[in-house]
Amino acid sequence: MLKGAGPARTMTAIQHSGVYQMIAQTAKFINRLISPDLLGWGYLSILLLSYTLVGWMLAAFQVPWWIWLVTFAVTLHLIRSGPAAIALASTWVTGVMFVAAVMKAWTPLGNSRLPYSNAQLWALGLLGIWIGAIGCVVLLAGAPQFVTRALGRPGKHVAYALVLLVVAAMAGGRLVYWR
Amino acid sequence: MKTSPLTKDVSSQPHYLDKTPAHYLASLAPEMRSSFTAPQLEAMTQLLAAAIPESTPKLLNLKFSVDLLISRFYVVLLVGKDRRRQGLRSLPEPLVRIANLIAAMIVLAVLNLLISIVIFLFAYLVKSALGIDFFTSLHLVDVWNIIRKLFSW
Repeated sequence: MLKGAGPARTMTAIQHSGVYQMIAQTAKFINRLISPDLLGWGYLSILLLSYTLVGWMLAAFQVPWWIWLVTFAVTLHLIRSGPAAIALASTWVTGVMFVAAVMKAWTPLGNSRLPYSNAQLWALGLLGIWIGAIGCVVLLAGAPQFVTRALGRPGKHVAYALVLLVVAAMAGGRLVYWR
Repeated sequence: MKTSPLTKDVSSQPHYLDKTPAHYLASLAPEMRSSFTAPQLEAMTQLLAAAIPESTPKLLNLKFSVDLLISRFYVVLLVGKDRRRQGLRSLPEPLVRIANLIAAMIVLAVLNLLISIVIFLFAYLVKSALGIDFFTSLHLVDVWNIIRKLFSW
């Protein structure tokens, strides 16, 4: 066979891996099983719940106003830039979590002395919040493309809707905490 | 008017790494292609095959964009077996090379710092979650307060 007669570009090691193939197959299966409309609205519902929880958490931890402000800016950046904003948003989340860990921060709800009385539970809680926050970042980063494709609406409309949804969800979370 | 011997616009074709010699030959005008003899076609096929670059398989192929508000950058990390026969072409001017080295070191230092913070935070939380206490009377916040006092913040 002549050199270069076949397709020259080869798959990467990751694309060859069983896990990658399994995820791709699962995604195809879900796509066949659920209608795009349902997927789109389901995604938005999960996003609404996640960001309500983010708003609740920020209110519960009684973070300063500038943390609210930067978090809003980061969420807007995620909606505008999509996956390219994950690095910056994750850095912000990790920075906040790092300060929370150093300061032994904990929500006054329940046991405010938890970091000292039960450090194991506190650390598990903080670890869970960290992983959850990164999950929220990834979820929002994928939202513009996913929702636009699933619902077939113009990208600009979806972006405005996402901004409204996230701001309303975070404000709602804050209200729920203070109620 | 002189016409192009190519029947299709090559730029609208698939990625150049995916193309084969037959692909390029097919883009020639039919009358020109039929004017070649079999040995000529074979020689051209071999020439094109040698000219088409082949990408080596990568052990790690990480490509992503980073949007830092002021500008958007892309990061590429490739790891693979070195099969090159020629060395890499270096940057022409020594000053550019030094500037490139400094910039690369700054980027690597920032990345290192970020990754270190992630690893430290994760290790600290896992350690605490497992109930391991290295200093019974000292917490991380106390270490922070000592540092603050040292620098009079």
